[in-house]
Amino acid sequence: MTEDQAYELLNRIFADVFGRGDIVLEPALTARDVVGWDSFRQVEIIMAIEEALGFRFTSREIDGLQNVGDLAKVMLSRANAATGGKPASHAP
Amino acid sequence: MDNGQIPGSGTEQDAHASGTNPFLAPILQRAAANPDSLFAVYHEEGVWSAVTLERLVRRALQFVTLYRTLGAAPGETILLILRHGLDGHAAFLGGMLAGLIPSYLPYPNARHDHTLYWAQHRAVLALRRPAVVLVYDELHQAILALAEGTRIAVAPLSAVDRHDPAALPPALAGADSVGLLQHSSGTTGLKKGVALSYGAIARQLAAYRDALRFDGAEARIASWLPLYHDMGLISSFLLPLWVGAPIISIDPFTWVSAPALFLDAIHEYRATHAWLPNFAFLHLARRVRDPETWDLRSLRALISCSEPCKPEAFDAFLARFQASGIEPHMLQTCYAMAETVFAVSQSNPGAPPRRVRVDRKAIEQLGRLGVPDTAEDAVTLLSNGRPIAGCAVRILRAGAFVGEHEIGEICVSARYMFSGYHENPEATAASFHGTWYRTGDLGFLSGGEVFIVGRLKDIIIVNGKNIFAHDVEAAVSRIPGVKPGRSVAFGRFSQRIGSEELIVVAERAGEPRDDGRVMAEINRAVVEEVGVPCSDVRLVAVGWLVKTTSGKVSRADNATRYTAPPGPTA
Repeated sequence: MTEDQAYELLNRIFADVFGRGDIVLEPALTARDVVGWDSFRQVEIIMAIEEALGFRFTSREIDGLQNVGDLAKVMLSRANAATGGKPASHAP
Repeated sequence: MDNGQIPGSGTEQDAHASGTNPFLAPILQRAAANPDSLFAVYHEEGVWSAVTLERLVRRALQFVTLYRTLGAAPGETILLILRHGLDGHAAFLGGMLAGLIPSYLPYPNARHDHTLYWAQHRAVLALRRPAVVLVYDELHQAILALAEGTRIAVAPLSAVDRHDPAALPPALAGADSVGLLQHSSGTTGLKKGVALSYGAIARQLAAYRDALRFDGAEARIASWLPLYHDMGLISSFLLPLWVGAPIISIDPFTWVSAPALFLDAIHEYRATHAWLPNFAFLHLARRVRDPETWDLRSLRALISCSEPCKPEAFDAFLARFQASGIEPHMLQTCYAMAETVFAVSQSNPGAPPRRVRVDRKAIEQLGRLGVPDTAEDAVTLLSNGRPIAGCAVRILRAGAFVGEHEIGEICVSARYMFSGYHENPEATAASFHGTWYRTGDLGFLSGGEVFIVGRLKDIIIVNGKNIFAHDVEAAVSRIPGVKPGRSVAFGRFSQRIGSEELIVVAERAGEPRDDGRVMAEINRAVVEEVGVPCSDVRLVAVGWLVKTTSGKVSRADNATRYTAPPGPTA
């Protein structure tokens, strides 16, 4: 996956989750900058990425997300990793 | 001093058996009799670790020594800004054992503007004049700077490690003494401290324990709730501590990103009870995807509390977790508030809470409940159960109490009523109608059960967090392009999030600016002020906002206008 492809996918996901196409995605964009980007929409965005790319974010990755650039970085690194992600275990 | 015994236990402990403090004495008696009983299991850094009651009390006594060293005298207030973990609990208990009045404050949210956060805390420090502020080490320098020029002792959490446990005090604070303060939301000096006596706390805990048919010997509480909120503090710390039920404790921030941890806690430690705000039922149902399952059959009650309980959230949770053993009777409801220590009413354990279909128009007009004419007019409400023992509920409308099925303001009288807002007799007096506490919530009684339909007070509850509309409006007024004082914030229930969402309407002013940029700046300012984003921001022309006869912007009228089709001036 290239960076352009990652942003193309993110654009589609954001338009779908927010129901509008006027959000201009750039690396420094944060949840504070977008009206309606609450924790539920954050979950929807993450789940949509996971669905599209077939991996699961780890808690540490989710905790480290500060802006759209961070999202794209995780997508690129996971999508391009040879082994792919492993579903989280539910046993403590 | 680490001889495995609680200092002062033995003969001094026996004196506590007849102690007059109805909250602390039973805990100390149990700690002496069953020191190895489990107090809590904490999830930290991916590991679950168990702590006995003896270890909790010994750690609490180290805090007693620390507070004394810092010069705190009995009756003074201490503020705790601490993260999840043993020290968060022990520092609070230590404050009580030292005869101090502990109170938790929220720690900075990553989304808060830290300048504003500290400005708000400066106001709280000025208002409360605490003897001690105990903070986790990373915050120490920042709080020290806030307290400069005052007599407040600011200590980092690690300071406690340099102190031995104190001996148990020869006398505990009496039943009428204030045992703790709970701080309301609100970001300025408007924070009110709800003062609760030990007698009130113990009476509430006894009544609520009985209402839940809670058996301390077999009950286990799972919790991710923050301790600065009354639900976390009372239901998931003081109640289990007092009855002897272990707590399975998860950090709130960890839970948000990994909600399945909560299910792990129930599954692994056979938890029997947990309290959640309404949104959390939806969060769990949506975030934790099929086909993962847990064994949740140990649950006796998963109790929805602290924001209006919605049938849709229960249904979604049930559908997702039926395969994990969740049954309808496990999903329970509670109506609670800090002013009565905690619970006012509780649904009947073992049976699903009653659902009633009522006419939406009656709610909007604050009238008598009627049968809805059409499906569109119908709204289904969940019962919050009957008032628990020692508590009575009446409905007030237009200055008089009204009967069943009449909607009005919920008023409460209880044997465990708060002692007042700390050092604020005016606010205390203003919140009573005679001897009845005016809750600011709107609802009705049906068959003796309490139903909530809305709120009179200008508080918006987003995902269990109370937000004052005026704090939001003040933040919005600071944005260039918005006419100061001409904005309004209100809540609107959202099926999407299972909670209220925050709506802002603001009038444009000054030089024309790009609406998108102004809206983004408003959102940023609101997040920084109250830690919650807007779900919608609407910019309107000057004169759009409806004013009351006294010239104030009316939140209720503008909320109605917002939901109406856009007018030509918008």
